Amino acid sequence: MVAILGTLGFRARSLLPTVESTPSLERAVVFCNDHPRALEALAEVDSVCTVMGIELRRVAIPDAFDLLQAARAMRTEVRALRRKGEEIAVFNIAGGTKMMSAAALLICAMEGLNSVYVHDETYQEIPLPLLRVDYSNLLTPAQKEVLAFIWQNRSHPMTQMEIAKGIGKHKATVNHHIQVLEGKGILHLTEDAADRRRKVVTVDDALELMMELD
Amino acid sequence: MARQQGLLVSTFGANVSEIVPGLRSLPHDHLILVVETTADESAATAFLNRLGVRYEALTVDPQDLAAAAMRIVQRVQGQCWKGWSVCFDITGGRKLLSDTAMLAALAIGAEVCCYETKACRFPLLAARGVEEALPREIADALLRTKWPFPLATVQELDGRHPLAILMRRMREMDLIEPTVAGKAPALALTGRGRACLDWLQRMEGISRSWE
Repeated sequence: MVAILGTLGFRARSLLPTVESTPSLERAVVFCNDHPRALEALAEVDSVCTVMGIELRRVAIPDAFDLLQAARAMRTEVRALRRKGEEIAVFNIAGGTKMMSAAALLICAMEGLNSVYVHDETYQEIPLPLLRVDYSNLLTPAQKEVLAFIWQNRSHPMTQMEIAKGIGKHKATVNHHIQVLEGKGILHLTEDAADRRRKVVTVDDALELMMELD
Repeated sequence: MARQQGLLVSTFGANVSEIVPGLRSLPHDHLILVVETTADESAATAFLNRLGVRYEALTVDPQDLAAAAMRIVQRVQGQCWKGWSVCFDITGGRKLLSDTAMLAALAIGAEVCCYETKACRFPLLAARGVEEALPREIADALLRTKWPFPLATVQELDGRHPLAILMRRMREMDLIEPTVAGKAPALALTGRGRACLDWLQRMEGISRSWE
């Protein structure tokens, strides 16, 4: 089954060119929030899909301004479609809020999906030069182990010494990995709010998505 | 050991408040404000001058998304090569401008941040962007081949022939697809293939202009 994905805002026309141009399209999956104007646009897309015999499915994005939430929902959907053996022809990123659109771009790069933008005035589809960038495989197993431990204990940020103790590795080894990971921008060394002499290791919520820690 | 210098690239629309959270929380030595050709950045520049922030404005036309992203990449790459850390704040400006910055960040593998509802940082792993995902030999083949390419030429080859292997890899990466050119079956570029070729050609033009 051939499917397309698309972010949808207030204008159905940002998505319809992809519905019309995708050969053998059988399913369109649309990410949109509950705003009445977004639902109006969805109804318009639905009427076109009905005429063309295309199944339309909506994935609700409760907070269209939360990039991480939108990206998580999109990745879950992409993987579910792939598990069912569906072919995802393209992801149209033109509609929705800018955070939804940015999330879609990110997921296209992470999952290796074709992506298109639709020009605001001409409504022409513009393919984007994105290839699969597998972030999770760019770290060594040892770095991943350290990162996974920090992620699991993120609610209580720890010092490098505490991390070394927690995973049962030598302090120098763990310090080296943490330095490398900090250099890559994956984690941060920050002052502990309770004791400014202590430097603790912190990670961002998005790490879960980027490094497949979930 | 010398401290790594940081470059912050912030998209800007109309309100200074869009860039303030990033300015305050992302360490940087230099700021690039990405603005649209039609934008009036005077409010931001007055604010930044008052703060004494080192900045420059980079004007792009996001209607040509890939070209605008490339302009940012071109501007930022010099600093990347010097070992600066680069972070993109995509909170400001309209959607198209944020997409442009996101595409540029993905192309060079820079960290992306946004402060729309809550602070959100995405480590994209420095130096792992589109160019690294597209191996040199594939890029060369994309650039040097005259598309569409006759399928018969590939079919005549042994499966282990370098050209046959290259074409298979390009097909796996969804850069090319079978088609019919005239009356003969051929391999043509997909939408992604065309977009990547366009990107490479423009980058090649930029590299040449630097030589």
